[in-house]
Amino acid sequence: MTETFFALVSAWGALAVFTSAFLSCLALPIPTAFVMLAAGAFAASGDLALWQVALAAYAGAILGDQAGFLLGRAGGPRLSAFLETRPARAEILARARSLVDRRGGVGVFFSTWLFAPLGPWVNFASGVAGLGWLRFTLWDAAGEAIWVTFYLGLGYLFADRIAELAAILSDASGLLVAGLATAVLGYALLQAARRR
Amino acid sequence: MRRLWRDHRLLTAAFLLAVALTTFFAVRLVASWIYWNDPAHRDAEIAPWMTPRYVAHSWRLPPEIVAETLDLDPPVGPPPTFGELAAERGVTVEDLATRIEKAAEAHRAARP
Repeated sequence: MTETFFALVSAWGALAVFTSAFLSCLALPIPTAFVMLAAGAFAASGDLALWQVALAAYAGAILGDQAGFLLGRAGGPRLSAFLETRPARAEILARARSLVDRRGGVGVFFSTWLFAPLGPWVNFASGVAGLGWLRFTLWDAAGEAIWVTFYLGLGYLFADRIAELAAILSDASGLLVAGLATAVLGYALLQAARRR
Repeated sequence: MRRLWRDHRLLTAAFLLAVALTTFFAVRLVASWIYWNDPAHRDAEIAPWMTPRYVAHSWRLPPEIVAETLDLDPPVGPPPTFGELAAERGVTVEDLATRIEKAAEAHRAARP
């Protein structure tokens, strides 16, 4: 599986990197992290130019995030109107809005690299909840710079061992997201238990 | 605990699932970390997705030696992978890998 994506990078170069970064920011299940590892490795061996793959990855990620955010923004009013038909749901929505307003930028930042599997959903939710475009874009651009540099850099440095590196990184990423879910759900459970 | 399960079934189930997933990924991470550190896996075996230059880089050989060994034409367009080269010539990737191994031995013997 992993090696199929490595082969795509050697055949299509920067185009493969751009397309995969763009689509994975729209929640398509493409292992863009592996694609970037391979791109970094082929840059180290001289098959690809580093600046080209870096530009392709960054542009693809930013444009994909923008697309998700704008989709959320376009669908937002209709979705909120539906949710606000019941007072209980309207209250939850208002709370979500105020959370996005206070912490939205930081959430977008970490969802681009540290909790990357959550990225597409955070983009969409930010659009729905009405996070400002400039704030979204600045935090997003900063986070994606870290993401692109991290994976391309690792691929470049450990070019001869990217297959094993891909395994480690996907396990670490799964662990982070599952750990985050455990913490959030555990906290909610604790609150529920105390309320009684 | 029993009361929690009775009153918040969905939340408790989701929490237990998240704990199970966290454990699963933690175990896998440890396993792949051990694999990474095992010296037996240090020499990258030639795989179909690799390109000649990539192999030269990871085996620390001059790219010309790999190109010569494989009788490569001067590059036009995207580089071929070992999978493509093998298919084109009707041989296996292992055959090509054996040739590279021999060339690498010769090269390293000539310049220790």
